[in-house]
Amino acid sequence: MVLVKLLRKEPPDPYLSQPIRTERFVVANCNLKDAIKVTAPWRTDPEVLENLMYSQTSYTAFEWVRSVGRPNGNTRFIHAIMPKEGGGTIGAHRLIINRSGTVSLAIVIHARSWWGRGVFEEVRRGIMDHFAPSERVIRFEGHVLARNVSSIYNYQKLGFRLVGYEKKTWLSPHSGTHMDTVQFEMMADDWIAQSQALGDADEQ
Amino acid sequence: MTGLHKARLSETQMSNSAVTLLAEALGVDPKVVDENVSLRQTSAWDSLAHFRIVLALEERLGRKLTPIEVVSVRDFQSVSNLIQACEI
Repeated sequence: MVLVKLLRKEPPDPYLSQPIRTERFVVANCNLKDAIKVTAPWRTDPEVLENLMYSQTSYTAFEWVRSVGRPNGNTRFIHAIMPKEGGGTIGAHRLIINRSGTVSLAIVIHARSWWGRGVFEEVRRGIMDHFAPSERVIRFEGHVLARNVSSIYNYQKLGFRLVGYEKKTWLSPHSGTHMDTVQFEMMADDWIAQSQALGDADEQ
Repeated sequence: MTGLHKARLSETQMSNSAVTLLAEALGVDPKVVDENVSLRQTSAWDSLAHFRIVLALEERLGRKLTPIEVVSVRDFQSVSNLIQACEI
């Protein structure tokens, strides 16, 4: 029975695993092979690893396969962010739904030429618009370093609520110092209401 | 000059400091910066501008902002309050 449970894979959610289209991007759900490929730029980028709070300053290919986790299109998603024009992959978004309906979010735009061009907001809006209506989703949360000004800006821009400030939560493998973190949350219902209000305002 | 007049002058100076700081960070004319400028409503206030605002505040205040202060930076009033709190 235990072996059956271990071997059983959750099938992909037929709705949640669909690709998401925003104004400028296609945000496509990845299988394990694609997830390793799209997140490969992260594993040797110390700035990315630091801001995602990974415990090492770099990873070998084998270590990264173990570390990135197995996306299953049901509770774990890694989305490739692909511009509609020009092709390629400029970043990836990671999303995990726990059994309580909390969705943990993380995004990396590894193509630095796209920084400051509103990618985070557009992609995150598209993903949250897609996931929020699901009955499996109750709330979204983000957990970032307190000095990650860009991420803090993006959470605030989307209307997330600051719910926690934790001191010396994370030991940086780069600097060897403890760093503070902050937590943001957005209830799925509030996101839907906010999006509808924005849509109504645009129509007027 | 009465104490009350001194206080009013100080608030104006703080407001002007916030206008100048925000105008430079957002890359806009100071004339368009008013109390309605905010992270959520002002298109020029993108992530890079936000970074510049935080850096400008730290340079102005002569120290790094605390995490709570970083999170509090979201509109004209919050920038003005930070400048005022540290000038007292």
